[in-house]
Amino acid sequence: MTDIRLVNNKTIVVKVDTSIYDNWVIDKVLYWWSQDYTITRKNSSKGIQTIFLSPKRTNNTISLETIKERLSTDFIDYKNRHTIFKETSNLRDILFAKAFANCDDFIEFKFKE
Amino acid sequence: MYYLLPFHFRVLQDKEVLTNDLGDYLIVPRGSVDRIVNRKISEEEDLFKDLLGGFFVGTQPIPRLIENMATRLATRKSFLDDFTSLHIFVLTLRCNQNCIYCQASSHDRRDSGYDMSEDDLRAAVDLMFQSPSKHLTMEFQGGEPTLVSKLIRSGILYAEKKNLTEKRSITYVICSNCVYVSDDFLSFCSKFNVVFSTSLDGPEFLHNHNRGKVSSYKRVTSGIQKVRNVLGNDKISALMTTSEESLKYPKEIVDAYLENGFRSIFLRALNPYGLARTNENWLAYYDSFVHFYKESLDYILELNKNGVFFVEEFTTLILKKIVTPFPIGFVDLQTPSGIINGVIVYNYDGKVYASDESRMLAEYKDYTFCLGRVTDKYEDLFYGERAQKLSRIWSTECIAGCSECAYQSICGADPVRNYTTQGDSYGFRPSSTICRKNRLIIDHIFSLLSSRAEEVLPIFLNWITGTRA
Repeated sequence: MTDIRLVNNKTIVVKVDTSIYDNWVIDKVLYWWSQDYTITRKNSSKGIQTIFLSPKRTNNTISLETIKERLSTDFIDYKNRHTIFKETSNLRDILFAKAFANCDDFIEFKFKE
Repeated sequence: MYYLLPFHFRVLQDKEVLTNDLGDYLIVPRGSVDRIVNRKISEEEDLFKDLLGGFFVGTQPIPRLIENMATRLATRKSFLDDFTSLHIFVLTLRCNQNCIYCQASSHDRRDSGYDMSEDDLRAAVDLMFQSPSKHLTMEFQGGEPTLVSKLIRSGILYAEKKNLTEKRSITYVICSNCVYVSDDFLSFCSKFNVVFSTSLDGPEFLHNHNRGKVSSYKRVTSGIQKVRNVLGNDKISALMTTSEESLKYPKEIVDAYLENGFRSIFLRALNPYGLARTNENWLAYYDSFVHFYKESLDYILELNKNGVFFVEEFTTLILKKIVTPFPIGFVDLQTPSGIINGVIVYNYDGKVYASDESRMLAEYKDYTFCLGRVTDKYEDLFYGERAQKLSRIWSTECIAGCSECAYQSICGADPVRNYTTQGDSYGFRPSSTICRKNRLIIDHIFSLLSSRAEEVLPIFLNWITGTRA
């Protein structure tokens, strides 16, 4: 992230450098925030994505500092998850293929139309 | 230099819980994953040895033990080999109790039109034998199935006759409130090794409150004793359901189980079906339930420390998934989901449903998970269009919110629950109450394994192996 700020005392505006955190990471982080916030995203120039988080409920009392801390750790954790995923997905495929390679003796059923 | 192997992690206060598809786990200080991913772990560190031993990192791009890893993964999913082994027969919707949380939408015992026909029963048994499973469980449910004991008898006798050539191993289970079980019927049950599963909600005042009958506790406990006398102590188990009222009495409920001669309890939350679906605030209920669960578990652990062997079954199921590579056969904690893969329901009206919860929805005229009728072809029911549609969303490995979760292989996918609570079978994990409940309970178990390992691990291992200390 390059910046987090509160606009109009309500909307949280987050700027993310997409060369550090790509869309995979941003999607996964925002998924868990989408219960409490309406989220809009906009790609601006120079690889920066601007994210607007507007609280769905008016009684949302989480402080900006807490939100900053949570978002920062979420981005770092999901980037690590993404690295693990990228580096191990082929191996995971091999593992599943080996584990279930002998399960290809399927019965052919005739289904009704 | 080391290579990463597939794993997931979850932050638990100042710790990180690492898990993988093989059934290994490791609890490490916060920040360790960042060090692991950025290759900051030295080969001399103890952590490196733990990571290597737990299949979280390897020293080669393709680990030398990949065959071993694949075998462990296949073992973890071996419940799929047998396909559907639990066959639930809802013989009637009529019941002789009046439970405030009834999830089965039961009807008065004098009502008519709610019993399964003999023809449908036979057709359902025929379908059961088309399952490839060597081990079949034929479970009779209701309403109260002993109200139609004639149907239970004919179902068992027909299955026994077919089994002369099928040669399967069959377990018969009757889910009964035990309020009225005749000597003659018990004598029949003893011939076929029938097992009873009953409900006991705790001490007398609480059980009677939940059942809506003043004499329920006395009748149920005497029924339990009667079953024990004829069939044996190990032939009856009990389940409790945690009503809103029950949440106030964690210790009293455990004590009531002990007083009634049980050596285990399954702390079970309410499900949003039947009468229970009218609950106004499920989020608050599940948070209170988790608090109740923790208090009860603490009390049970204290009992065990003082030499009383007493097991909490839900914790044991989760522990088995955490510390062993073996599947547990509990349909709510399976991925791919237990619906169809593990369980099927033949309803009193001859309709076939993907799970017990699916048929409960049908009582509210919602037939989303109805697969067809008992007279339909096996392949159209079990592998048909509806089953195929469900199969796209029944694995935690491939649905949003679960696919990166460290508890992915401990928890389970439940499209029926998603549909009931969120109106969408795919579900939305951030607001899912079952996701929240399971996450908090598994967090708690990992916290115990992390902070009180010396004290709780010997007890937990006894629970898993079923051995007394």
